[in-house]
Amino acid sequence: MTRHRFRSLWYGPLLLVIASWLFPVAWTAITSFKPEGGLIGLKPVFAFPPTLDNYIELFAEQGYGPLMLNSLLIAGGATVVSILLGSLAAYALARSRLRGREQIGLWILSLRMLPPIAIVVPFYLILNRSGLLDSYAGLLLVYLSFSLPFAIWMLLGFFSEVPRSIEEAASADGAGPLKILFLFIVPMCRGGIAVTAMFTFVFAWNEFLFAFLLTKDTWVTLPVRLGSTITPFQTDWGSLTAGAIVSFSPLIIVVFLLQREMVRGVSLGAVR
Amino acid sequence: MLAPVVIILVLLVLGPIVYLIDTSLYRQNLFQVTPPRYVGTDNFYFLFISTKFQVAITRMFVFTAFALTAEFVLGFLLAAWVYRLRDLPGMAVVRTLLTTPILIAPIVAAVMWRFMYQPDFGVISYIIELTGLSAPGWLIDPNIALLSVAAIDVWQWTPFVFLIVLAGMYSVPKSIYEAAELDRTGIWRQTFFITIPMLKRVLVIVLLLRLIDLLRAFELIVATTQGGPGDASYTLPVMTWETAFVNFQMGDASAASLVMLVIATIVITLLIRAISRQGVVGRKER
Repeated sequence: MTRHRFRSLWYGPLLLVIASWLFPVAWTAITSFKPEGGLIGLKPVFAFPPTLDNYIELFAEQGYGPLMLNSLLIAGGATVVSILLGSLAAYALARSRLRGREQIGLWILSLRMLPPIAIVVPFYLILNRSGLLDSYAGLLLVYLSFSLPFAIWMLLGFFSEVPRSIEEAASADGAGPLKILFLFIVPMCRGGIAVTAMFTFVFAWNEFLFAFLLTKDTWVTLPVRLGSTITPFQTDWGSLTAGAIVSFSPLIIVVFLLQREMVRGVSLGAVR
Repeated sequence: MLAPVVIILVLLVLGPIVYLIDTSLYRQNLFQVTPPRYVGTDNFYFLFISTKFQVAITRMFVFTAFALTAEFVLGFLLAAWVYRLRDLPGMAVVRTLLTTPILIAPIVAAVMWRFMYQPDFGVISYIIELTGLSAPGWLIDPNIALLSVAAIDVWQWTPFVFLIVLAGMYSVPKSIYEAAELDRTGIWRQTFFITIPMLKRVLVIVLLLRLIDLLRAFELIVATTQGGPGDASYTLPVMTWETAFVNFQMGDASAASLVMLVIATIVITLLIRAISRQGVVGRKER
């Protein structure tokens, strides 16, 4: 009992660590509610009348509505296609009797880890030549190069956990592989599929490099806009911090939904 | 069902890599009408002898070494601490809060920190100056700019090391620690003789995952310093970007990309080995 009471003294330092770690997020949020003109003073101000002006400006004047829609369409499209194709590949891989199937799985995973900066040059040249720069189809294809390997690898982990006996019973009833996949495996693994889909979406939503270098005006995404509004001379920090919050806030839901599978998602399925 | 997807992946990823090897053998400026000229391995030769490349490689490794060490030490200590306190109520919330930065887009992290790093009205300098010390010019002093940028990565990814190492610690059977307690083994000895050996595989995986990510770090640098001031934060990814998308020298950029790709492939190979040793795929099947 005394030991426990002694331990609870640690709450103080722990709180301090958490507070300082989350301070950048809090500071960004605070700044985004500051009225215009109060920012570039000599000292950071802590007391001020909060205002939504920065947010209103984002959507009314800076076109953040269409920007968010772009991000949503691209990240959402990449997620849907990756989950669909990924399910087929992961199921085939999980059930194949090939001796090298694990090697194939790991090879697919390794594609996910290639440095985007190293493959963006050929992507640029290819899209440029085929007129697909700054197009939805072009960007979606490029996004599949990292989303699809991730989805396959994660789904492979989840599908492998389903006991084979289930399908053996189903195929004894005459069901083909596609029927087994969609009628039995997918419903059983819906949790794992949801987790995979959410992580795939987050990675695509946050992606910067490809969108930055392969779009121009039409398909600019939220991260690209945020990156390009920083200028060395004068930066409108009010709307920039508000933009940062707008870009991050959808993910707060994900943080809480995915707590239990966080380790698996961020370690690319390497640690469970 | 597998074959079509594998073919898609080959076309999508290996295709561009083969194309990259091809373009690295030509001299080509996108904004000149002259057609690409075959130059063999000249692009590589001029890349390797250029001072810029040597600077870029050095900066890339300094950036990586600093951030990797800091993330590892801090993440491990934080995990060990939270693990010791695991019986206290509310530790799940602590974990959730501490891991939030992982899901923030690196570009958003760059925006947040660039604002806090401002020399005249940045909050970090303000707090430091409250104590009477003088704050350094975080992103404008060439001596510390690279480390200031790396610190952003440390902020964002220490929680990643913390999260995975903590999960690993939970998987170590408690009985081992209880036996050690009975033998009056001290906490440091427990760490070095139980925790680290038991977590070896997890630690290697975390290390390699961070290594890959740090070597390819791009947006953090481009959105904060653009490789500057001078060449203070000029890493290989920044150099590749500048060559391709500022100067439009696609041949030279392809050569730099391939160097990047080779370095990454070495680390990825090590990582794949570390992962496959345990046999992730068929582990739970009979």
